[in-house]
Amino acid sequence: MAKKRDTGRKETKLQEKKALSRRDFFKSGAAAGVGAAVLSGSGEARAQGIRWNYEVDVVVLGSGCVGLHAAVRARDLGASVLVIEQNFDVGGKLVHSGGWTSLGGGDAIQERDRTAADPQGLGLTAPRIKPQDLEDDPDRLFRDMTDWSVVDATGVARYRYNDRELHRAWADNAPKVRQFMMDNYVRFARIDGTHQGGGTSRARAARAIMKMADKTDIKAGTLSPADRGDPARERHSPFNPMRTIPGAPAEAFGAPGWVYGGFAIARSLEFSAREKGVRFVLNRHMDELIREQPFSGRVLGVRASYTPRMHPETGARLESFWQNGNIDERTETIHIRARKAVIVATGGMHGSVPLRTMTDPRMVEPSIEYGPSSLIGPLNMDGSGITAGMKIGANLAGMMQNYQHSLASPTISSVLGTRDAVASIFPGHPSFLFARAKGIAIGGAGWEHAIAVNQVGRRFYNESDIANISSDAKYPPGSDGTRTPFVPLDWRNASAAQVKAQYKRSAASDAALAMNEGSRAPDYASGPVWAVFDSAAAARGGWELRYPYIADPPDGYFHKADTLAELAKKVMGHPHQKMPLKYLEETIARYNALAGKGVDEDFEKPVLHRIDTPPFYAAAAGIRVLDSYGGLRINGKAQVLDTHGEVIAGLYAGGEASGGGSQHGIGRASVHGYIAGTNAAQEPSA
Amino acid sequence: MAAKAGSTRGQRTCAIQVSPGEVDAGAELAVTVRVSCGNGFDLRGESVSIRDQNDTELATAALTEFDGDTSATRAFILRAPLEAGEHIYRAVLAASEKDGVSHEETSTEFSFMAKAHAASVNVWGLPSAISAGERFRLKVGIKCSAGCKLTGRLVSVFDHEGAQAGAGSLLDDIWPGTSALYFAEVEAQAPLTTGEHEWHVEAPGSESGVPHAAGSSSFAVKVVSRPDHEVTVEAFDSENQAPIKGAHVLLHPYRALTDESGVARVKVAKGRYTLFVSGFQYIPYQSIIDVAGDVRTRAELTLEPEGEEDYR
Repeated sequence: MAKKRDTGRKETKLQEKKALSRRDFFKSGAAAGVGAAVLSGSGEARAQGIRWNYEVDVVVLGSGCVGLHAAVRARDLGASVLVIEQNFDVGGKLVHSGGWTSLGGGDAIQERDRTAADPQGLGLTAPRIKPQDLEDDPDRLFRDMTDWSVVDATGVARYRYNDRELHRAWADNAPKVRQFMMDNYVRFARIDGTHQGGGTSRARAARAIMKMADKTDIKAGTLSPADRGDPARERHSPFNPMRTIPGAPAEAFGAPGWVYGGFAIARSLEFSAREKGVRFVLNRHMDELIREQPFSGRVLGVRASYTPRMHPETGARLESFWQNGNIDERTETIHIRARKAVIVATGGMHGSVPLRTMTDPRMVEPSIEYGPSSLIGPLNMDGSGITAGMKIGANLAGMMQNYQHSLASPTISSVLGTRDAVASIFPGHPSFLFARAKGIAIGGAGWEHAIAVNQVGRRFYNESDIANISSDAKYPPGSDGTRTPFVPLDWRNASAAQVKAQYKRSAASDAALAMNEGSRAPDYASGPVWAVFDSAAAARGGWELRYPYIADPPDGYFHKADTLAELAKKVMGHPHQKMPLKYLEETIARYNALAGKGVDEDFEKPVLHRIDTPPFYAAAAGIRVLDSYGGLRINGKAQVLDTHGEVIAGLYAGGEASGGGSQHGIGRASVHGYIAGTNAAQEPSA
Repeated sequence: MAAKAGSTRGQRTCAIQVSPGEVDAGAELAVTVRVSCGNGFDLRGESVSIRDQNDTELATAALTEFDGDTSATRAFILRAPLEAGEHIYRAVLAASEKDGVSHEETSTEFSFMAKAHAASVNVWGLPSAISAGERFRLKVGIKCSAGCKLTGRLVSVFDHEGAQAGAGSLLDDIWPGTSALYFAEVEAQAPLTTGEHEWHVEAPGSESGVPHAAGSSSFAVKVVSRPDHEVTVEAFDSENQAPIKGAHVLLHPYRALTDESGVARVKVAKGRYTLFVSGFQYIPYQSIIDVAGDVRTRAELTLEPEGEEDYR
């Protein structure tokens, strides 16, 4: 096992301060179970005439990957911490992710696998990566993250535009974060690659795992079958909303008997946070950051409103999986004072049309799906942290990082017939109540058997190329544009010959988002995309055209009809479909004629099957984005900067609420949270 | 909508909304009657009588809504007659006296079109390649626009020269998975000339009983030379070498599916073909093969990345 990194004497001293002070978590008036002492507000607060309902050292906005890491870290350093979360449960997108955590810099798991060790006795099989590809250090990691020469298979040089100060700090902290996660009950399988944006020269990503056992025990790293969910019975669980598969086996990643997923991180950190005394106000959305003066002075706290989510059938409020440490505050609007700092961990911005169209004007299209909306709720990715920061003078950074990013620019889903192909969840977790269908996963190959049409019923691209979506250049060499053998900082990585040889990018989503005969001023929105197929295709593919893969009762995202003419009208049940599929019959007549010829003269699809066997189906193929990049401008300490480049005192941000980097996922967010939590806890108390 | 609005009797003006304005014979129409009085009186409580050309009362509906200017019925249902063509009905408001104000009887005509039920004709199930002169089968399905039972209705298949090549009658059962698609299996004989021929199928209309319009549809018949050779394709998973059942094999225009052993046998004419082998969740395999005799070939397919690879 790798040695622990030195976190500094100052941190050690702070960690000794474990107990909450009596000023922590006070609430004016009724205590509401907070163990309260009623104190007067500070001078600044009185000056603003604000009656603070709660006061703590650090307020964390959001309980996703950034928020959980920040909260636990700040609490470890002695700060009282209050997390406010607009959703009914903790975990954000982290809890449904695949848990593939790309860190590096010589982190503890790289060292474990490099030496083929298993110091935690997890029962791991042999490492999957050769030792020399696990030799790493922060300098190498920083060089990788800012390598000007690397061009990915879409012709974009992502690492080139990563903010240097941010990524120096990121690289320096990545090994600490791996150890921090492990110290908070997270276990990892063998390293099996590097995740998007995590660098090109070394393997750095491992999946977070839990071991199947009779009962769930976070400290022991065990997970009960009930909490895992049951793939065979098509059930997720309230504990685990992991997308697609409820706790996929980790045997292929060197961990037989274990399952992997983002829940293994989210629930472990949540458990640790609650154990350490972090308090959570769920169902609470931050509406405003409060600063001493509109554009100057410290950030004092936040205004937040009550945002419960109700069971769509019973009307009962949805509740979190764990309750201990929750403050059940139902007042419509409250103000929370942060003595030290506010950390913006509110996630991305694709729920905000004004923000998301800053980099892509096509994103006016209302049918675009973003994030796991059924899991996070109607305020999913609403950009509120970014907007609130802008209102008090914060600058933005990295907005262009969305450009052609495979996870941040629109792609067409191969999970059909659901309003939330990103969540792709079975019944058993409350988010299914909102998704209503898991969706039919046809994979990229499935498009051979269906056509994709736009809102007027016309084909627009070679369907078999729809899923041909490249990701960032990353380890191992040879993948997604990375040159083989890979030489860092080598001009040949960026040569025209290399780019031409590697270029791979389906433009299907671009064609789908083009204006068409149904586009109307002023937005000229393109409308939804439909996968249309017949019963013969469904039979060939064994597609499950039933609940819970499609909604029952129907929800407008999946339609069946005896004839194509009927099908063309039925799609009007989709909330964003503005007209029947006017040209569908004509389109399919043409397609069937081309199938007879054996040549797709229109779009060069290699294999065509006639669409003629009733009944016929139209399933929404969501145009979706997963991540967003670009947000509040931060420095290496995760402090938010204003438009003059000055630090906004008392305000931190990270993950998708911040800008300056293009790395995807847990690696980026966890380190940002850790840095923000570290520095926020050490702010002077106001 | 098809309504004659605006005719006036006494002080009351009556407007009739009919939806749809054109409807299948015997199908339902939604009717709403709005009545306004020049003096702005609230007419709720009065009734409207709907009468056909023979002055037979078909329905009555009460005025139950009032917006401060106009009184109205809620939408109510009328059934269109079985005779196709334009029908002219009347909405009659009886003479009335209320609150010292009297209204004379008001009669307002409105019209709608009843049409013969349309037939949607579909053809499927014929082989992708048919040897010259070979007998083959196809399925013909007909869906009535009003969902009528069509058992026994005749369908006829005509070849590219207009000659009848087959016929059948719709079966008692509907096609599986559909709500009202009646179908027939028809046998026909392919022509002796190779190439793609445009055939068509016709389903005559009927005037007796519920009127049904005729329907037709064209389809392509691909006629090829008699195959000389057999191509055997073995589809395997490239990682574990397991045979892939149900993989789709295409040597255009010949198609087949692999069996339990991952094997498909396709009889083809000699020549050069692009072989495509595809299986769900597998990246398609493609190669060029020359067929001058019997050929055996192995296609190793690689699994697609699980789910959306990059969102893990």
